[in-house]
Amino acid sequence: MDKEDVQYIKKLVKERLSAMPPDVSFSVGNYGDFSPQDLIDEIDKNSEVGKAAIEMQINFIKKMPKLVSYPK
Amino acid sequence: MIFIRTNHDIATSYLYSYTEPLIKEAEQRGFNVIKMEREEITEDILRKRIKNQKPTFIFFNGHGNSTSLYGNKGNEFINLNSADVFKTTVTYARSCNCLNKLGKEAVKKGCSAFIGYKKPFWIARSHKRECQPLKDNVAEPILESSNTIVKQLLKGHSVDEAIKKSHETAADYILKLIYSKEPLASASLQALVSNDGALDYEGEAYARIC
Repeated sequence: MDKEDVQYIKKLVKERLSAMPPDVSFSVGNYGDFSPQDLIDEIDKNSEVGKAAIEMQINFIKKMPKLVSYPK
Repeated sequence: MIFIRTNHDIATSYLYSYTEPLIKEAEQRGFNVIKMEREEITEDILRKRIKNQKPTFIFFNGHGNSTSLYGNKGNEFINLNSADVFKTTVTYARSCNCLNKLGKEAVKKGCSAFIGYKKPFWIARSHKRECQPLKDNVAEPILESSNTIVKQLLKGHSVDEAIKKSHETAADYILKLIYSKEPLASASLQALVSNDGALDYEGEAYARIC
């Protein structure tokens, strides 16, 4: 994956996180607790939590077509 | 059976709370449930309890990583060198990344089956319900899907059947969340999809606890 792709994915994930309500948080094992804005900051810092947040979002986006094809 | 429950931060307080209904159910089904909490969570005490009680099932709730499980003060209490502690049991560790190395090592050292996660275990939660985890409808789909594993094992189902049922429970929640108009649903959904994808086991598919 080249630098542009990485930047695009980061931007996409940050946009998705910024759309979340502020009164929700994520506990990520012993990394601690993070609001959506905290996760955006972690992505900017390129920390392990930031990488985990990107992975979570990318997995979700990849699985989304299969998920929405389930019958209602 | 032994339920190991840490409770020293928000994440572990949620895990702790969601084991309560499982303990009640296990006791109603006639199981002898030994709870290990707080300063009791050490390797020595765990080994003594196992020697005395010969449990068929160990359920750990707390922080971990690919090689270790952590006690109530954030201290490592089980690692690859002590993974033999789980031998002859079915073990479920509701803990980040623990399946990658620790689960494999435990099975290599005689654990019948080790259920766990290959990636971080995410808990999405509502700020309004932090003091009442069991009433947090953001966390509920995530923790109830994982609780399904224990409920199925208590009913006598195999590890493989319990995991499949947990995936089914998660799929039902995912469907509800996808079409939900609740603004916090997207947080639950993303954490649930991630955890469900990371759930797996090592060892015998047909292992049972009763």
